[in-house]
Amino acid sequence: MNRRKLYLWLHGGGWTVAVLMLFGLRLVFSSQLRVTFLEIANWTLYALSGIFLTNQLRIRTRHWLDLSIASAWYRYLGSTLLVGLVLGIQVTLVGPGWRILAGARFPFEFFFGTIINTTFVVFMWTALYIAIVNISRLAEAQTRALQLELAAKEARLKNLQAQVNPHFLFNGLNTVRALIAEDPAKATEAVTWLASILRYGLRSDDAPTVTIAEELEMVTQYLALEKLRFEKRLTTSIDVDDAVLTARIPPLIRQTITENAIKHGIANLPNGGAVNIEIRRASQRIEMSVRNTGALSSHNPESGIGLKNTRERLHLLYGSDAVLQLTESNNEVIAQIILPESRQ
Amino acid sequence: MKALLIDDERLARLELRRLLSEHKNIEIAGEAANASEARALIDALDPDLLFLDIQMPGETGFELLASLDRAPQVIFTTAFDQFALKAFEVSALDYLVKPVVPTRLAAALAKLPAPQEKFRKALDQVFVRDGDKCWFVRLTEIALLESEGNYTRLHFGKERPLILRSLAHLEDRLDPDHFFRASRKHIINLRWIDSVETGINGALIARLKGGFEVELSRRQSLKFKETMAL
Repeated sequence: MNRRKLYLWLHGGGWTVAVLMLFGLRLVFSSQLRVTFLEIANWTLYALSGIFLTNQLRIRTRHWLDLSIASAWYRYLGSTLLVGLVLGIQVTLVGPGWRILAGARFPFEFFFGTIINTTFVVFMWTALYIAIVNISRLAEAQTRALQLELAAKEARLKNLQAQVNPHFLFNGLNTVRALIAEDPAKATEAVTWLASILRYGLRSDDAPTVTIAEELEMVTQYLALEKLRFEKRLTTSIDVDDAVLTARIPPLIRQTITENAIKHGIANLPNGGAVNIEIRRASQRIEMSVRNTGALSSHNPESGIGLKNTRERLHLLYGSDAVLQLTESNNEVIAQIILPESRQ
Repeated sequence: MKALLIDDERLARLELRRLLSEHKNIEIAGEAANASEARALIDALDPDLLFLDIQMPGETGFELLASLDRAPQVIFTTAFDQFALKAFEVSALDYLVKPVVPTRLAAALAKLPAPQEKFRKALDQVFVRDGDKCWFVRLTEIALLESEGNYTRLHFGKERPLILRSLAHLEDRLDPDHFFRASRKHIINLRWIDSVETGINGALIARLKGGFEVELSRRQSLKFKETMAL
């Protein structure tokens, strides 16, 4: 059942039950047992007004839910009393109030009784409403936290597959083995890079973010290794605004995008190309872009998964404040991520 | 044995060269960094063996092979490529994973058939790729070649793959002692003929093992009778 439906059922059902109970009380405690048509009409009108007014109350006071508890309660008590008063006056005037015209005295007991009862009903209504909203908000927050955790885990796992994986790892090892004979000094360096890339991928801490400096170090080493493999076919540049080095981003986001640029860009070009990384700061936002020579392939299931996962993580962390877009222009593919600047 | 190394990474070729230096019977005739370079070298050098990387920029190793008229012996190499590994498994092709283990290389070389005498001018095997599957098909196993526009459908065993060559193109390269152009649409393998009979209009009908029945055109019927001295 969706939430709107649930609300309508609880709202309508609650009022029906409440009115039947009030009417029952009147039958039990009043000496007059005869039920007139007018009386039924009056209580029906009372129920409809109640349904209408409390619904209005919900719509107009929705934003109070975000206030502090104390100030929200003042307002809720006030509005509850107001609705109780209006309904009490209505039911009194439409019902026994008519008899004043016929010379009867004003039905004070009925009047105050109804106001108190009605206020109580509206009060219960409000309390129940707030409780349900808060419980569902809590559940939502929990789901979100779980989703975030899951997505981070998934990214770690994916990265594990991408790093410890297959293509990159074995090609890297093969390159290093060839270098041992050709250029032992370079081979030594390459082993160090490979080790720190693996270590970064296998990190055991669960920190949701890393500094841009940390992530860049990893990206630099990754590119250095790929340059050994592709030799003249790969040129790279990294251009970073020093002011963003201490800002924090989710780990491996930058890395995923860079890897895609190599795997789906450079690796497919017989003459190779360039990968250019740029990180800028603009009005409280961090703009990161990776540009690579090549064209967007219309159908590429693998990069699809990497991108989808990255998008999901950005969405869970920053909601609609973060953007990831992939565009192509002038024989260049540009992956751009824009996210809010944060230092925590 | 004349071998070519085909891999887009120089260091990968260097590494393979180093490993192959142990094997004196393998002569490395050349290296290529992509499919088009490789194709030119294959035409020029006519190697017996290719060490072929699957993932290369431009055309993949599979695409290169499928475009060759005559496929030499091939040992595939790959670092890790799920799709290629799957193709190897389903097709029982020989492959090496990089970095190559020296004993695995020795085993793969030992499995290669001895190079035939140089009379194989005509093609003796082709590499065929059809969707996920790929095969080296010995020509002796092909019973029938059927023209489908620019493509030709091969009939061998239970398989009916299409290859991107015209029937005329293939006819020029097939050994006329074994293959006969039956009609505009068909080339038949003479060794697969079970029986031949004369049809109502005087043309011949060849029955092939495996249940194919191919009607020869009138002109080719005459030629067939002449060559076979029937």
